[in-house]
Amino acid sequence: MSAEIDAGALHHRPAGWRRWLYTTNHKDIGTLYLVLSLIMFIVGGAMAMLMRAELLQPGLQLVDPNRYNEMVTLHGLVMVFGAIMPAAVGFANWLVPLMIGAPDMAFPRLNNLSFWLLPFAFVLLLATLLVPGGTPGTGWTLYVPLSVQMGVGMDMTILAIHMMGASSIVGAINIITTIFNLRAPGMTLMKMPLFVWNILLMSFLILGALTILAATVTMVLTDRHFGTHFFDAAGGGDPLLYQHLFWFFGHPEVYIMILPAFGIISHVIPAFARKPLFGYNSMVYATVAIGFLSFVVYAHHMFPSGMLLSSDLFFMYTTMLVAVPTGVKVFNWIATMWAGRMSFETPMLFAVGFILLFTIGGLSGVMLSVAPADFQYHDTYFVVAHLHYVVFAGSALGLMAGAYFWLPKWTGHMYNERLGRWHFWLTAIFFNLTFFPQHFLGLAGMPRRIPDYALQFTDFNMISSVAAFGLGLAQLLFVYVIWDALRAGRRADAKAWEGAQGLEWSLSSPPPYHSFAVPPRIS
Amino acid sequence: MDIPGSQLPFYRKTIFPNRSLTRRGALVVMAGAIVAVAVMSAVLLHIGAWPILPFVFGSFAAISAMLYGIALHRDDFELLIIDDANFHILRRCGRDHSWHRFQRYWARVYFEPAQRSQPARLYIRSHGRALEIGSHLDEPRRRILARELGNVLGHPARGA
Repeated sequence: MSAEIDAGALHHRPAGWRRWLYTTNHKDIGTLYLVLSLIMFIVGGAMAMLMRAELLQPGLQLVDPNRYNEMVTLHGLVMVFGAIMPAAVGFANWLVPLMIGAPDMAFPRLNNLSFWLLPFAFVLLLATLLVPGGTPGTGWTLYVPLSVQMGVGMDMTILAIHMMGASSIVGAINIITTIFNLRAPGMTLMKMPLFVWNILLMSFLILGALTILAATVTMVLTDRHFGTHFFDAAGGGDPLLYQHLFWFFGHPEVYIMILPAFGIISHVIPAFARKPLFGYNSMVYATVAIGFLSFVVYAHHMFPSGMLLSSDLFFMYTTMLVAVPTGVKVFNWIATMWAGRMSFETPMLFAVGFILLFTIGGLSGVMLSVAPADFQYHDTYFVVAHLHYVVFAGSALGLMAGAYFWLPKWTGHMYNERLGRWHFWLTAIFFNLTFFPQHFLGLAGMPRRIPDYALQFTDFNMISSVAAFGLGLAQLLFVYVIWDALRAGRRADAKAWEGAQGLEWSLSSPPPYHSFAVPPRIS
Repeated sequence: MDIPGSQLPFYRKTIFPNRSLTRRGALVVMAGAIVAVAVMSAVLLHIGAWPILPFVFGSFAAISAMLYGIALHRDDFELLIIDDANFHILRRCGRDHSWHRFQRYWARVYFEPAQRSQPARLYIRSHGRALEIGSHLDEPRRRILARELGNVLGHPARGA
């Protein structure tokens, strides 16, 4: 090396807006992700409220069908890419370095880039509401041929998806590198906390799945503007190819959203059961198995599309197979609670709620995996109920459990336990009132993605809509609890929970801006 | 490692960043990535979705670059040796090696705390030359190193 003065690799702490714009600190970037996620959660939730308001009664009341379809598209995209995924990456940013004893992420500047791509992507996505033709009314699946025929809003959506994808892929590479290369001395892979394992698998799934999505929407773009016919049957293309490619991304995406929640629950339950996690090794193997299987089950979303019988059978059996490693996880969580000295603070309530409700979503998933039955359920409200039991009761409740669990660590303040419990019970009750009746609606044949419905579906829809408003309001309580903790919460100890285990609890609450000045040695 | 002109050292310290990915681990990750990319490419080609391949290869290239970067810097280190007459600094960064020597009597330790747009830095200075050391370390450990070197050299570190 010829130069005698090297660039230092050290972070410092700028003040004001520069701190947030230029930050390369994993804690700051984690906070940015979590705040963005909360904002998008509210935005996506508001769209859901509008849809449920329209569905309160049969007939058209509030929005025209095109606007309703736009809400369907935006609600899906915003919740998946804006609320759940950034929340997971925010958790990863905050916790992975603390849990593995690393001073920061492996590529801090890339970390900054991967966050700051997101706000612009969502501005672009939401701006589609304002352009001629509006947001594509295709649903989040953006199926062809509809997506090839849409207006300029589709191009903006594709660009927004590219930006979100780039952000996710860069973030995933950063997380993988950090976990592989910056673990504290002595922390072997099989000593890593389960949250880190789940985030590692999530990152690999992002790499595999988001790449396909980015390429697929690019093919839609070339079909739209450059005269190709990948998906155009009239030009020799195949619309079903789009479905294959989309769901090759779309199904792993479900696991991308649920794996962080699995990891969180694996920390919360042992802490409040005051017992070590039951079956650590089997949890790791189950996580890896779920990650692998997620890529070979995708076509169960396409049973009615007319695939070969052998394909139907293959995807039916592999889909059923997912229940095995998932069942291992649920069994291990219950076994951890068994004979434990349990207490039911808010994170534990959310964790137990997660297990119960996610299992319902898993069971309806097994029903949907049976190809002949799926021919009946497909595109009905049964699917809407199933996916919300998986994504809201699974991913979102898991993330909320984690937020309450680590909020004292992140902020240095305890939240109001009474309000936290209110938040849980209101969420759990209103969630079930909102989505459980949708199983019955689906079984009775009510199709999804429509603003109007036949009169016989009125009662269940009314219950679902009224409960949805309650569910939405309950989430505002969540925002208040966080704000109240920051403003007036009592100081949190370094180890905020008696039974909490892990390197992150060895640091003060909040942790110092530069943590692990001396790398811990894991025995 | 033999250092020209060095005498019996009475201070010796090796600084290296923590690297937990072993050579074998990197090979396993790379092999897994190659298998995954090969399988995906075959399937995508089979169903006629060839435009996806550049994206898949792009992701693969990014992973490969990450592993290459790690491999390149796996053996980075700074070796600080102080003997009766000299302060030697041997450094490896990627493929580059360098050796710096300061006269022990004149060598001074400067610690610059983090400022508005600059991170904290630790320098060895003498006769108009300055060499930053300890860039693998974070600020508290750099400060500790500065004090330690100042004590050994007999001139307290400035700024630490």
